[in-house]
Amino acid sequence: MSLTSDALQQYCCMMIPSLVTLSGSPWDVLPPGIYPATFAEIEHGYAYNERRRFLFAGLIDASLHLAKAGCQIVFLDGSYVSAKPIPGDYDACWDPVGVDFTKLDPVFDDFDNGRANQKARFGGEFFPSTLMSLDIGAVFTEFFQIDRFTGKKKGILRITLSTDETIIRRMTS
Amino acid sequence: MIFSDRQYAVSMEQANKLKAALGHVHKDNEKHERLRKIEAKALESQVSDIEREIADYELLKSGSVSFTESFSLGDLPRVLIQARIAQGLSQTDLAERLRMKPQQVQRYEATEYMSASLSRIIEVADALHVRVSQSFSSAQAPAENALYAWSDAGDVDWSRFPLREMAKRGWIRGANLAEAARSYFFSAAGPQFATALHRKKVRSGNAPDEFSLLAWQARVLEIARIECEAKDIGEFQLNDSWLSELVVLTRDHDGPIKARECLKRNGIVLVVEPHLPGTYLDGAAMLSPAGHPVVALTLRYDRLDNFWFVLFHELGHVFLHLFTALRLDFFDEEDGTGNDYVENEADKFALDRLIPEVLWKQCLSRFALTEEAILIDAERIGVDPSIIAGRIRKERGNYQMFNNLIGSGSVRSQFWRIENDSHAR
Repeated sequence: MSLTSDALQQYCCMMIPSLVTLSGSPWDVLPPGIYPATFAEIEHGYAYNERRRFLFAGLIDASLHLAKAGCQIVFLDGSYVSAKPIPGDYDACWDPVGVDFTKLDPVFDDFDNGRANQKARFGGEFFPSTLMSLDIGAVFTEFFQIDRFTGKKKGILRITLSTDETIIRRMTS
Repeated sequence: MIFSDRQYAVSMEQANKLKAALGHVHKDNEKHERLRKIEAKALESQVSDIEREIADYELLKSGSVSFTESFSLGDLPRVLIQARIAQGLSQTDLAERLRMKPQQVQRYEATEYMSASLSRIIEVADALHVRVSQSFSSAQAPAENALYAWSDAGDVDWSRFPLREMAKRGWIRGANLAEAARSYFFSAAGPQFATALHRKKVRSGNAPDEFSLLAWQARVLEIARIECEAKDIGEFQLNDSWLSELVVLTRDHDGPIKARECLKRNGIVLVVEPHLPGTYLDGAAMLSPAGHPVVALTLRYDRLDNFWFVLFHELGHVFLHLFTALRLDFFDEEDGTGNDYVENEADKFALDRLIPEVLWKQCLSRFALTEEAILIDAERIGVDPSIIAGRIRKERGNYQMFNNLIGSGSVRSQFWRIENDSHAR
């Protein structure tokens, strides 16, 4: 099969872009935008040392819990998707659309002590993505697209749990 | 934590946006009640974090916090950031004082000086007039056998160094060897080395001669400094994905010497220097003053299996421990105790990198215990047979097995040949 220009264009758009330098920020970050990604791509691109592999395992574990409750989409942001060599944690937003709240793990309600229980269990923090505000739209996904050092825009990743092969494989095994 | 006025302004704006959103969160009756609660708590939690950071920054900027007492090593990174802000210095101001790029200071601070060598931290403390406690009382060192040296070059008894051996190796010369040793230290390892607080973690069954260790380390750092100045060394990143290239090199006849080039491309200096009397060192991992990881091997055992295991063990320290807050240099002797968490982690790193656990379990040679089975497994896994033979010998505690497969006498000659060639030139 030959690659048509449309197919090539689509393929290019699916890739996680390279990190870019943000003047005044200590680490390179994703260029502004929300980029679709799979967990396999994220593992390949970001889980490149022990700390990052540990956090990635926690992210998969949490995403499995969310997927089992019916969650379709997770956004990944924070220093994990920057060039920071050893991120303290990761930040994620989960889309409540389709979630059966009787099946949602109570840890996703727990924001005490700076989200300490979420971090202890999954290595990262989880915020709902659909909270809207008149001024800025989707509050948390917008919040995490602002570089905290400079105030400039940066990118985040969007993972579709319902079609992600890593999640599907874990759900069935 | 807020590090700059610019970040302070960003935080104020973000806090205001989130607080505005908080005013609307309870008004959306179409949402599930639990979701509304989650959204409210998420917002309150995030606002609370930012407001606390803003308050901390305002307090520091107000000048009402003083930093006149001494601080222990464990507290120092955060204190250095706070002291800079309290003194009204920007990250760029501090970078200029230290003759560094502003981004380097930004990175140091964003990681609480994680990647800074101990001597660099002392340098920053001096620049900010922050005094360091010499007791390391609150430094959390899970490691046993931590060894501390002097904080002041004036306290050093230079005559206790292995002067004759140092002279024999050509490091020092002259009538007054103790004075020569002092000069050697300052020139070899840099002025920071002799005056900085040293902190070492020694894995050893014996109490090693501290002076021999330091003399050896100074020599290692001297060689490393020359290597770093050559400019053809790569940039080190905490990304271990290239280690598979090293594993492939185990099958190469000149693998050990090629490993040195591979490490150099990836920003790590490999130094080979025989151990000094009074120590039984196999290897060490430390950070050069320029910030490059340095792996030093003594080649006390001239065997391939030993070379690769010790190399990967030290790389384990580089990737797992050297850049954490331990602030340690790692010195390893083979007969150290087996219940040390940090050492066990480095051991596991070495074993898993050379042969992943799942492949090791499939190795029939572990039970067949024949040379033929080892050769088959080595071919299947893609490593040199010495790696498997050495691992079986260690697991069985039998160092008489497979003497033909462990590459005896094939490592030192590779490095000595290169050294001799370079001396001849």
